[in-house]
Amino acid sequence: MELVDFVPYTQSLQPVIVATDNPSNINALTDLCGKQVSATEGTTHIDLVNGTGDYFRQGLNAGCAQAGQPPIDVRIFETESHAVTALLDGQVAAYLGNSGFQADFPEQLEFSEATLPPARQGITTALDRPILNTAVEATMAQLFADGTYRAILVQHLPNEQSVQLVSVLE
Amino acid sequence: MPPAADVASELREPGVLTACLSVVGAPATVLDEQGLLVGYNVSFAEEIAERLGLELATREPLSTS
Repeated sequence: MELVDFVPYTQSLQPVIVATDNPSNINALTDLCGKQVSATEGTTHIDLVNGTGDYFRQGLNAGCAQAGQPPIDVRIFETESHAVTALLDGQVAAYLGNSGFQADFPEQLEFSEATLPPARQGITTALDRPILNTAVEATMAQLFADGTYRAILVQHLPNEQSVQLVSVLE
Repeated sequence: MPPAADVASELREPGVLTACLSVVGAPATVLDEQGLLVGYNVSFAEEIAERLGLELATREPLSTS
């Protein structure tokens, strides 16, 4: 069910977050097969595991089945904080979600070698505000066209490689 | 671009673009020493508001609280 309009403007690689020293040896996405992971309700990470939504028939569990391994057991939490806490408490082998949490818990969490497909971030507006959505979309198109979009990324990112990874224009 | 009056009819507050920004960390969105939101998400929101002739008001979304 569509609840919002969406104007994509950045993208990011999504490393799988694990406990420090990677006790469950998550080094590739197939290493998640048969293990419990946490994710937040309503996120694309659940679709990615189960092969639903944007990842219809392309889910990680289909890969597990092809490899003859049990599926990933994704535990769904109401908030990001609860999903991360499940990893911090050792209830799950990995957290699929906001990579910013690794910086919040640098002693307890680390990025594994396993990386999820790039995800796009967007500006969302409620469906009952179609004019506002059109205005935001048109303004972003201006920013893309006149170079302001790239200039903002260059201002905030450490190098050209980072700009190319985050930009939806590259 | 829609006329400003039409955009204004969909605003929660007259003249204000209210944007939810999740504090996901640098360089996207982070709190600086003064407790102000900074990062490229903030810069995009400020630029959009300015080009629409609106003041920007930021909020954190409930889902990350």
